[in-house]
Amino acid sequence: MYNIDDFQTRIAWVAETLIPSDVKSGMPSATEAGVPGRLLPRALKERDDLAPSFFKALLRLPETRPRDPLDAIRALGADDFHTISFLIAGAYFLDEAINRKLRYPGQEALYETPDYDEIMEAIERVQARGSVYVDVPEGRGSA
Amino acid sequence: MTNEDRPTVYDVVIVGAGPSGAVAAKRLAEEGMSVICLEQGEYPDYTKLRHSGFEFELTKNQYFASNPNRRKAPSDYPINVNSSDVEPLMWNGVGGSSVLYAAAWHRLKPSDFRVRTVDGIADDWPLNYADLEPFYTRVENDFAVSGVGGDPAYPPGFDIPLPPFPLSEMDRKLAAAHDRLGWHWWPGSNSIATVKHNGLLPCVRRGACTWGCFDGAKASVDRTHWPACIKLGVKLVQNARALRVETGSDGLATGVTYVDRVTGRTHFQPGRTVIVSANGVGTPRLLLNSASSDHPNGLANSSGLVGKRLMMHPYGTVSGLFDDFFENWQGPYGQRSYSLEFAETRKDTNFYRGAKWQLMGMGGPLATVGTWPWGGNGDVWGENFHPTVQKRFGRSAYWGIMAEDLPNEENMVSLDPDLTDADGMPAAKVTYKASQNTWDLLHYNQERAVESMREAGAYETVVMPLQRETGWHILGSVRMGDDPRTSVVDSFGRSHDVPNLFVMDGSVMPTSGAVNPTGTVAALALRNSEAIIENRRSQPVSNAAEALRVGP
Ligand SMILES: Cc1cc2nc3c(=O)[nH]c(=O)nc-3n(C[C@H](O)[C@H](O)[C@H](O)COP(=O)(O)OP(=O)(O)OC[C@H]3O[C@@H](n4cnc5c(N)ncnc54)[C@H](O)[C@@H]3O)c2cc1C
Ligand code: SF4
Repeated sequence: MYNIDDFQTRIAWVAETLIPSDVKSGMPSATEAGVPGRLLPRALKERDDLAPSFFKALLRLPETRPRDPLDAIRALGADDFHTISFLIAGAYFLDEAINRKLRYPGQEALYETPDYDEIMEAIERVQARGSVYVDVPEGRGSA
Repeated sequence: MTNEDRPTVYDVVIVGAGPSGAVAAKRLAEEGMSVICLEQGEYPDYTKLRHSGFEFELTKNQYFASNPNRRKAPSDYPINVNSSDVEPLMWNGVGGSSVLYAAAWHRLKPSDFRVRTVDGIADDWPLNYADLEPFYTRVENDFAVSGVGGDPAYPPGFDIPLPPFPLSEMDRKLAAAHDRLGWHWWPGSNSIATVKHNGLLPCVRRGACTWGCFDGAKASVDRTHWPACIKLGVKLVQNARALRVETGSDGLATGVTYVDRVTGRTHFQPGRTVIVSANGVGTPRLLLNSASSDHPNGLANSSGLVGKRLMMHPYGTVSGLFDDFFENWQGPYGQRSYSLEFAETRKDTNFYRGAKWQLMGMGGPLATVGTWPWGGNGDVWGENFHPTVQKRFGRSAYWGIMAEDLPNEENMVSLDPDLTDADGMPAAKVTYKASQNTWDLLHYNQERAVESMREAGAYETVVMPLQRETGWHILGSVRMGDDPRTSVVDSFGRSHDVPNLFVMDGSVMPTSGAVNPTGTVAALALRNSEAIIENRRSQPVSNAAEALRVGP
């Protein structure tokens, strides 16, 4: 069993390296969004299947931020890099405020009905261009 | 043996509870035949899907991943894919792969049944479009197909029973582009209920389709067929992994030996007729594992073709990036719309046959930094993270390019000599290489799809040539035909070698077409079932199975 509290120093630099803040879009970094303390524990609970490999991979990283932090995470290899980056990004996108900024409402239930007039107009234009299949002589072929 | 110990002899033993097995079970039971179905998995637990919260993207691949080698659920069997360009994907449980399918629904075109006649390559089918058409019509109702009829990519008569989804901004963009290019485009046809129908609820478009539809709108046969089958008296045995189809000294099938995965005990289930509906990997695996001294190369394999000619619709993608923000994350995840403009052989190209293009949902923010449909995601981290998300989320669309695959005997399913599943049954080994024709076909279609995206306003396109984990359609490995020397089953799925053994899944398809196959798989299963019903009085039955019969 791993305890997330034992990994906080590593998580802080890893999360910040993968998701720094961005002035242009006004998006916060992983730490500013609350990944280490609030969101990552939730993500790890949701994906308890990935949690052991996440911590195992973290253990292979230095405790404190190395000089080339992204290279250090990449050096873990594709599988571990994937586990770490997927869980950090997955945790980041659990946050409501982040999603609001992106204009992502989540996978909503929608009850719109189709506009038949629009659909008919659109398909009539396609039909007017004629058929696009090859008509073949029917009857049994050689099998 | 007392009568109590003796297993009931059923009229029909079916292996596999996916669409083909379910269609057959329902139809045969409707005619009063006694039917038992052996399924290696259980009913899907849809409560494991977090379909509505922000957890959806993080969790969707946990239980409902489509690659059995990653999922490793107890009902799965390993598939050795070391020698394959494409990995087969499936769901092993009640409902079969329809639990995960995107539910894009199509018919084959007339030329798909006549590839040799039209193009001088591959083979013709022993049946044609007209033969299958009435069965397409019937299954389209059972599978709640929604969309718009009158598509000029098909002969008249492809009328779709349920109303379509509304057009989205994405559809409008691409439809207008294809109007300007003079190319075909059509609103998506999907086996997804848009109104209440056949036990399904109207789709609420959350887009979880390929991870299991919690909302009960997608026509997966655990919902559309199995409840009706159970009411009709079909016995569905879950956790029953078929190990062998047995034959008697008369050469006829006597039933199926299976292992109960819960108790570990092996049983023999006798039956007068055996139907294998285990899909293009599971069916040849079972037939090959049913080898005996009378059938040293596997059952029904005098042609040597069991497992060969595997086709998997190699798949590439072309994504477009747009300046404006539009909804691209909702469902249906399957196809919003499609194009069959390039689905037939063309005179101006260096390859045969064609591709279907499907316009797909892109997913939420987490998908923008994933690999699908972007290819690698190694460079989206650090300072690239936010610009990537901003660029892709709500500003992208993609064409999935589904290539018609041509049969090649070197592409095959065999038994792995070393690997076994948890019950000791040999694993499947898939050997598959995309042909030069496939590469040329994909390349050409991707260039056209880039034109399509550009015309629709994309300022940048991203092309993924052939994606590996896209073996959704597993076809051709038990081919049908009239000649027992060059085919395994006849045009009604009946084994040439074992006349009370039937195969009813996509493995019987002699060529693959370029479209999603479940409409064809289901229509064939219905047609074959009608033939079984019609011929039931003259159906040869093994004496050994008859001898086991209990009761009247
Ligand atoms: C992710 C995904 C997306 C797809 N999208 C589409 C789409 O949009 N449109 C479309 O037309 N098709 C799609 N498909 C394909 C579609 O799911 C299949 O065509 C369809 O399910 C085939 O039905 P089937 O009954 O032949 O096989 P399956 O549905 O694969 O069912 C076979 C069943 O047999 C069982 N079985 C196998 N071996 C044994 C054994 N030894 N003993 C007992 N049971 C056994 C399996 O557990 C399984 O339940 C998709 C598939 C996947 C995986
Ligand atoms: S989009 Fe529709 S079919 Fe797909 S999962 Fe949601 S309700 Fe089901």
